[in-house]
Amino acid sequence: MKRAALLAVLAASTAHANPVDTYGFGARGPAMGGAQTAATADGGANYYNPAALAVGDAIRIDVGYQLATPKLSMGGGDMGVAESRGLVAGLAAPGKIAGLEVAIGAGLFLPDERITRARTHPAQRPRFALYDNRPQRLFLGANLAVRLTEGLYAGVGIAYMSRTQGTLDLEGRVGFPDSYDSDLTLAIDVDLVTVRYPQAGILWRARPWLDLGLAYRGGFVLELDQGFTITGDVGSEGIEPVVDDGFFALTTVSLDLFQPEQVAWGFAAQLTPRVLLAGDVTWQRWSAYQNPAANIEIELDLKDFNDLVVIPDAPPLPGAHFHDIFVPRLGVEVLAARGRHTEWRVRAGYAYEPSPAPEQRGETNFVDNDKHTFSLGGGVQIRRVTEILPRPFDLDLYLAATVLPDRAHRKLSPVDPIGDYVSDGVVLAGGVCSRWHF
Amino acid sequence: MALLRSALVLGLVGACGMGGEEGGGDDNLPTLGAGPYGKLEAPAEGVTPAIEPFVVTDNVADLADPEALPLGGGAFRLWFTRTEPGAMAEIWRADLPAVTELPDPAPARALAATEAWEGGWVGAPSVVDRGGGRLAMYYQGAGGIGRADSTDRGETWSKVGLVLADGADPGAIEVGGRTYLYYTRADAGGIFLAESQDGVTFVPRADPVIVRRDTDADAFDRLWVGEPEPVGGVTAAGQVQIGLFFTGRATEGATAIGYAGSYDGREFTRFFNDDAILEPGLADESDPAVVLEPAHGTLFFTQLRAQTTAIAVAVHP
Repeated sequence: MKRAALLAVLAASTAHANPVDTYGFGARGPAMGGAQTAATADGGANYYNPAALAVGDAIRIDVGYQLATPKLSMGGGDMGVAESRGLVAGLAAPGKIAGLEVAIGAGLFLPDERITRARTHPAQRPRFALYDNRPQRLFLGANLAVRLTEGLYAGVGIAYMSRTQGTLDLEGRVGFPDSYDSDLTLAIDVDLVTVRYPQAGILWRARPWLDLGLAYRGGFVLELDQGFTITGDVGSEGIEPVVDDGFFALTTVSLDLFQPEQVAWGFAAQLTPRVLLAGDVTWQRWSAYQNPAANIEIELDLKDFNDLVVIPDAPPLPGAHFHDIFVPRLGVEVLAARGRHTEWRVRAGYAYEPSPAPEQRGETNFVDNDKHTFSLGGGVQIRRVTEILPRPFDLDLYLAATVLPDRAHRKLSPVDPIGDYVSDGVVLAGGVCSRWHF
Repeated sequence: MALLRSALVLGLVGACGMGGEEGGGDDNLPTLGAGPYGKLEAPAEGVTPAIEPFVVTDNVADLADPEALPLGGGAFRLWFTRTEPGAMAEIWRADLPAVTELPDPAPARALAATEAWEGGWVGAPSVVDRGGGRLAMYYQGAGGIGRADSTDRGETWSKVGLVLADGADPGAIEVGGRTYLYYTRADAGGIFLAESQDGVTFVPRADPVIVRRDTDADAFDRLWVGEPEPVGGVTAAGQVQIGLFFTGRATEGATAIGYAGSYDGREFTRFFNDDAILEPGLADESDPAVVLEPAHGTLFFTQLRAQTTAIAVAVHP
């Protein structure tokens, strides 16, 4: 029997984080540039800072919808990167346990096209490493928060992902020389394995007008582990097989999903009774990002033909060489008008996310650009809507544009099969979210 | 290998089972355009006017040495050498509305021998687009390489004269105001380079830029290299990149088309594990002419069809 390891010839997966990492959670947070570590006051706390769940005394339920449309190109033509759209929901439920003020919360982003998608590409195929497959998965988080003392809150939680692990087994006869003449039975055994990663936060009301926040989101790598075996004969029906009772097994392990470890610091300052200014800086540990190309192992027994099969040694995988980044965010919220039953707010924000990826000069093509995100939004809070809903009801919406300025990638080799290219693009996003207080 | 191929096809489809699909970010992928190329095939359904992979044919004359200029919208203007039995070679022109259609109008003569140095024949055109409808054609005659200019995008030509004596098979490109003329010589093997600031006065370099690989028994260009076709220019990222498609001849006498790349037009690196970029067929392929776009390449070449040679086409990816 022959065994060999092959790397990266065919199957380089795209390995990215979840959609809320990319586009934010809800409508208020993205409208304010995502500067929410100290400013979050809705279901977005389940992502931005779980400690904020314990602020307030009302049950809050957020339900909304978000949509993002990337228009990304390398060399001028739109690459057709998929939209991200789906339902967003959040829950914050405060209460008391043994006199301690606590809250539980849950956050969900449910794509309305796919729950999850795993993709593999030829290893050298260019792709926008942080956008190509990033939003194509579900986000689910559950949190617990507690008020430690007056003005000091802490929260912890777990976010969930899932990965597939399984085998596909074929048994019977593989047609040779005509593979369409095969006669095989199929058995599939796949598990959906849960992956959990932690998140935590602190919120401190340092002054009556100033909140400070610190949040941590654990990093993880999601492995895609699949196996494939064929056992049986090789040949044509009714004729003595060319290979009698042969065996072929292929196993691929690739990195389908990567989220960098993150620490966010933030402030929220009520500058005037009408103006709230919020700012964040988030450290993201992209240096842990590995080349997601699949490790492929082949094991086979073709009897008399074993010596004819030559499986070359795998070349070493080129490193991705991503580096850590700091992402500053700034947001402002203004109480624009107040009526008898309504309060109208306008919001704006800006975020700068430097690219963690180096210029792609070698074999790899994990393309990414610096990103400037400009956002606008607004919302209305309606109190005493009806007797059925005496508690306030909020409706928020936002629009955001993320601009990826031109970035040149100059290849070191004059015969690199991709050649030089310039990556650029824009991502348009928007969303609407309602918040119900009980 | 078919045995392993059957197993691997089933295995990889089953284990990976994924790949490009709608919204997959696989559109308009950048490419160097070096290959591999695949000959154009007749569509599985429907009929096209062309006889794939041939785009220009002649029942009487040999057609060879194509050169191509994109006209936009998938159309091309081709020039090529046409040699009737018993007659001297001339340069003809054909306009292709698309690679799946026949020339329209019918091919016609573009350039015939009129100068003494040409020795009664002309061929092997290489056209440089100088912008604004201005073209410069470098072509071969008996005495070397000459130049003709056009101001109406190749409808008519006026001869400039001999620019490089004793040269053959010209392939020219203009980059950054400098003209690189690649050619072969009867007295030495390999592909040579001459450079010019004005496109008329050339300074040849002593050593060839591409040589045959006579130490590699499996090389497609073990015996001979020639028929250079330069492509490239300043890339979107600001580098000068010149690619050279060329014909190679192997031990058995069969020809195939290869590619090498360079950042200065003088030092070249072979592409694609030293293999040909167009899978050689039973009929020899030679005389490449390539039109590159950011995500696509079109390769015109000479191939034998029945009793005469004709112009065929291959595409990448």
